[in-house]
Amino acid sequence: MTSRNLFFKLMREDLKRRIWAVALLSLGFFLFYPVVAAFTAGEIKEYMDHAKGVASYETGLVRWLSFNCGMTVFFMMLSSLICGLSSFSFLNSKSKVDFYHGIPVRREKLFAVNFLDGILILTVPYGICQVLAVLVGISNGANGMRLWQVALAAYGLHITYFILMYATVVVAAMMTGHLVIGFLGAVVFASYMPMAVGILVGYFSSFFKTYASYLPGIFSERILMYGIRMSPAAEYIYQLGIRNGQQYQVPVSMAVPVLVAWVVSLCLAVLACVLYRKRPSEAAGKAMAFSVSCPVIRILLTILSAMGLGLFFYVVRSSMGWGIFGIVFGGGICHCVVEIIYHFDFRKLFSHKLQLVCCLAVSVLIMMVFRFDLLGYDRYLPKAGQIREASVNVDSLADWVSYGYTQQYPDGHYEWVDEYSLRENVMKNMKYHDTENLLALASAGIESLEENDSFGSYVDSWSVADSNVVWSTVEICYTLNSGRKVSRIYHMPISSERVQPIIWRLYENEDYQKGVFPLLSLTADQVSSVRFRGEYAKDDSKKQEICMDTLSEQEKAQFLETYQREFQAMTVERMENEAPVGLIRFCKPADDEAMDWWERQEALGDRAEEWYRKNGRYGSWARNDLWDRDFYPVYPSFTETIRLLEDQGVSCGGYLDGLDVRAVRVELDDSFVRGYQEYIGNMDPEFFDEEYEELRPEIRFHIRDKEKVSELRQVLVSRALCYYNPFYRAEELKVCLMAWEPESGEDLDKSYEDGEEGNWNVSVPVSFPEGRVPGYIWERE
Amino acid sequence: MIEAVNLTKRFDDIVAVDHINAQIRDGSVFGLIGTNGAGKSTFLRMAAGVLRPDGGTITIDGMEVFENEEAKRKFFYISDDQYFFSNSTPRDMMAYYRIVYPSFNKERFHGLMRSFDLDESRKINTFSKGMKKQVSVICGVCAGTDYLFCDETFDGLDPVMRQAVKSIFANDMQERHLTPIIASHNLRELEDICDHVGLLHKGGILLSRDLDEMKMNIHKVQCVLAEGMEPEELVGMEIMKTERRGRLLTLTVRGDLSRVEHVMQTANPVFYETIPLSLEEIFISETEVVGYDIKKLIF
Repeated sequence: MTSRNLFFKLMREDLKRRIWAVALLSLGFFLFYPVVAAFTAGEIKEYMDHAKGVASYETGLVRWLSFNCGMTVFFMMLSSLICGLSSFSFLNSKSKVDFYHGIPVRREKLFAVNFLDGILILTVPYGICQVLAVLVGISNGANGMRLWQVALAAYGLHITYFILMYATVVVAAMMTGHLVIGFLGAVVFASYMPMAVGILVGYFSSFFKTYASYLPGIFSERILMYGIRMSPAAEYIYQLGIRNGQQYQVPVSMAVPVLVAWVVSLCLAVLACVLYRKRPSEAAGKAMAFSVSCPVIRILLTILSAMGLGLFFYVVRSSMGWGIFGIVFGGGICHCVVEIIYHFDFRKLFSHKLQLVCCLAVSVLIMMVFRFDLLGYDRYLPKAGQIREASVNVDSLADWVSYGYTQQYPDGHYEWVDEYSLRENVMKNMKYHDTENLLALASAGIESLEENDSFGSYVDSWSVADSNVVWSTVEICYTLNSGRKVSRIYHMPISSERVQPIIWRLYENEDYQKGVFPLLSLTADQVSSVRFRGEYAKDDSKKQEICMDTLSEQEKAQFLETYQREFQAMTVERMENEAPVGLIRFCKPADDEAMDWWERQEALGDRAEEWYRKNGRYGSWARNDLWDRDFYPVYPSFTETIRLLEDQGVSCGGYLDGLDVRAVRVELDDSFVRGYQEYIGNMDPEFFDEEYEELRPEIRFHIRDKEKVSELRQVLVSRALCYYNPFYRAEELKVCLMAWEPESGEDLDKSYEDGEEGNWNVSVPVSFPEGRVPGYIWERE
Repeated sequence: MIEAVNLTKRFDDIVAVDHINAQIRDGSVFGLIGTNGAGKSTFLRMAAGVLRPDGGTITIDGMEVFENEEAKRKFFYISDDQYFFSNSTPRDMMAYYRIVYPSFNKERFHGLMRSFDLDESRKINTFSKGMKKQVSVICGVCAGTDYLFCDETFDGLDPVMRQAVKSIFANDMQERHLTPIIASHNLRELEDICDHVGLLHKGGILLSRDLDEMKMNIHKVQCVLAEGMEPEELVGMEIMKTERRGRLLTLTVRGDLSRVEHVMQTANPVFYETIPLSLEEIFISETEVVGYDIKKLIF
């Protein structure tokens, strides 16, 4: 009982000593919460509609009081420094140490008193000011329940991360004997790991060509995910970042990170207490309290600084010489600064020369390992027997596929949500087992890398001599028998003679297709309707769409099974020569509900739901996005699918037929020149250059002759549909059908007035199938 | 009783206290004297549990001091640069000490503050150095502890105050067996207040004995010896130091007075006279014996 009384009396006395901190933080929080809550309430009067004003005020106040308020985060960081350093500032003064360590109070008790006071100094004023702000909000008409919920949640979360940062600052204070050094120590604790991770990732991305930080199984993936968060401030910002804007949406559970933060805080508090018990009183006034930590910190900082500056100079000049200069310069400066801080004496700059030399040598060695890939990172190729399965992503093969779903938000509106990117979907879902082809692909990537190295620099698709070759990024993630994931990224010519067969074999593989196309995993019971787009329409995608929403379950199942079968059976060889004739979408119930909702809102106009009225422009974007997702191509060879469509009265193959085409526009570019060169055969290069220079100003011309236009329409294919076929062999020549389409409600017979260029208002991008460009195009006749 | 056994403390490469063995008995005023850097403050800080010994032990009434609340309740430590809370008054300090020292005598504190003519509600940072020392001593005496550790506390106290403090000590020693331990390099300040002294030098203890006994065991002899006779020929005389001014010799010798006088009479000098040494002279002589050249410091 006596001991407990003593404890609380000591706490009270300590608070008396730190009344300045209480006053400072109270003032800050008072201005930050109740004053802001009252100040912003003035905006309500600016609204004609009082209810709207209150709603706007409430929204602003919720944002201000919530966990997502960046200013509060900054305030918490600053407060953790103030409270942490002031709690144990007495340890930096010899006279104060003599006083506190001479009285009959154990260090543990003193620690607990000061540690808890440091927390109370913030939590009490913050809590009171939050409550006052909520009361101000309620008095101005805001929803009390909502404000209490947000404020309470924010209070808990901010305090959690404040205590985490505060405990770290206290550890820094325990390890140092000077207020300024304690502050620097706290900064080092807050920034060392994020900086180290950043520099390490910089080394990987600067020196390894097959490295990509975002791929699973990459060496630094875990370091990135967890290492960068091994700083309380970084973890705080990370948690804030991933929950940014979520105060209005479905909340993500923070139970785990909060629990982790509390456990880590507790561990740090125990560590600080142990350090305090071990801390020699004579450390007061010295830079470092524990001599054993001096070399460790000096070495860690010197190596980090050397590697960081070495990387900077290397990246700027791409020269090992400058890289080594950066290492020596950065490491040397850091070492000297640390020595000055340790000894407060310029003459001690090089008192640990051997350590400095060793640090620099280690840094140079690390850079050498990365620069010359001494560990064979870029040449990594597992043995066939080691691979359990793999994920392979070739960017250009499926960039048209949608990975997501339709979601209804709490306010009633619908949007398409991109759950994954193509890469994420592939890495998550693909289980590719064709090891032989996989290793052939990886070997081709490595070979391509070595060829590029022989040029002395990295070669991309824009700088290669043969621009007919398609280059693409290929990402491979191996899952080894041990369960370990290893990923590499390559940049290779996928249409080259060597790689093309590998890519074809990959594309036609069932594992690959199932990993890339979510449609292949769809089941009939998930389908509510089938939609087909087989005719071009300007702007409004609804116009061109036929919705088959009265199909029986059996018909839907038949549609899906037939399409899946034909889609899977499609070979690359056929794809090279077939342009899609239309697009098909197997809608889920949520998709249909969403489209119904949008149509209903549009019809209601002013009587539409609040969200729709408020978000007119954004709303149309969200609607169009929802409408255009999840379509798959229908090829002419999909005879059974086409027959099923025809059974429903849907005709295929006339995508461009409805257009009133007035001309065909051809735009010249490099591809035209290459084509022209092939057309005219072995022309003298000098003469060719002169010819080309003459052509260059006339980069665009129109073919208006009706016969030629009609003839060309039979040949040209829609570029919009070809987007869904990555293998289609089309000429790169830019061609557009120039057509006239009356605006909605416009008299169909009214002749469009000729403009400067012609009488059209629509340009539809089209392409020539490979080798089918008529001669007069080349001659520009 | 405070007992140090092989007590050692190092600061980096410097050995501040080197295997000290000492006993401080209860009921006397113990003076800890020594040169600058001798280890007095370090010894006291270890005795107060501020510093953890690197070797050996220091106990108070048989209890290790470091991180021992019970042992620490037995003393009050006044450091050479006593800390007072910023902007605090003597009353504030009393309030704090009352929390940590359960036997703190509040009434006596008020009484002594009045006696020393110190304003309890005045901010301590407006006090003079001597007044601050008085506040420290008053707090220390009123804490009701068995021991009072004073590090250079009497620096800056005028003789009147020193006598006042001495009388307070004498009173407390008699009434409740207070044992003050006073560290100082100012020998004149200790001379009239201490019963027992410990002489520290370069981290080691040279001697520890009663002041009176020490004074009786070292003497200064001024003499003119017979023609042709040298001081080394004084048989049985332990000469610590010899100074010459013409034929006039000043000898610092060890031993009891009767023996010294007997040796001098036997030598039949032209003239001799024994002079009592001040504590300062004893200190200089003892330290010179072990190679401490005080003149180098002074000049």
